[in-house]
Amino acid sequence: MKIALFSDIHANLPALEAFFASVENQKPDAIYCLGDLVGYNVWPNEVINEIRRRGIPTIAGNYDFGIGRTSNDCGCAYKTDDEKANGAVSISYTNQITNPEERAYLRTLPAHIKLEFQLNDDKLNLLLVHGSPRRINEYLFEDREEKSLLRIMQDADADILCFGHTHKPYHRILPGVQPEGDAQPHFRHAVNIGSVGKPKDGDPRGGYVILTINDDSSTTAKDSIQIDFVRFEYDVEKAATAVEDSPLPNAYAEALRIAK
Amino acid sequence: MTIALFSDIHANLRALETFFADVEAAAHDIEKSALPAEFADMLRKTY
Repeated sequence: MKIALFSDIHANLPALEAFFASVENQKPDAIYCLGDLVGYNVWPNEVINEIRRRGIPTIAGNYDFGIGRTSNDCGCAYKTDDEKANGAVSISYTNQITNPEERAYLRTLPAHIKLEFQLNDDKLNLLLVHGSPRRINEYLFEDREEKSLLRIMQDADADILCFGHTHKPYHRILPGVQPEGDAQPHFRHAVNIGSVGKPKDGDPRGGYVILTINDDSSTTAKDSIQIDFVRFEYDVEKAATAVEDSPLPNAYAEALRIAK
Repeated sequence: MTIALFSDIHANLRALETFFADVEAAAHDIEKSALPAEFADMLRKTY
């Protein structure tokens, strides 16, 4: 089974349209969206409606949670005063332009999606979250201590944990043993799926993940689950120019061009 | 949010096609298709 996972579109309609063109070629069996449809660009309603029109199961990101409740707090961890000032403009502007029906949709998005596969007389739990199973806005960066990441996944009973929020894709395989104590290995997969509309890894192309689960996939075999990171070109300049032509800070346009 | 749930098709293609027509008509706030076209095609090929 091929599962396409994407997130962090952040109101970037040109990137979302290019994503759909790219993912169609992958012919996935299922598509899930891991949240943050809005913020930082000018097309929040259009992005929401494109995802709804396609009936794509979607969970809430921290920005969706804030806009859904007309809050001025997106739960973002801005570090500098400039970042905080720009962030305040972005959430205020997004609150202004998001329509009531689209806002109501954001409010009803679930926090998690959990899928339990039944393979090899065992189960394989796939958990989809935005930030972490604990908090919608927790950042799970690639350098997170292994012990901490493992504990988060064990507490959530997740064999495969897929998330976004940091906009920096990675795949870590975490070794462990089966809880029964029979010394069988138990591998867990932590997958950050990157960002469609606001990548921050230095590559301005949009990104998403194809997760392949086969009938021999198992927690006891390290490489039996396939994770492919897909990058696609889109009209970055169109998205950046839209920011510059709006009340949004120009810093968000430059961020799209350099993927920071 | 509107969620359509269905199951137990049991190889009944005519019923499945009728379901798709019905759910599309019933989906007031999902303008055109309640399900990805690719998924519908896959089911049609499978059954």
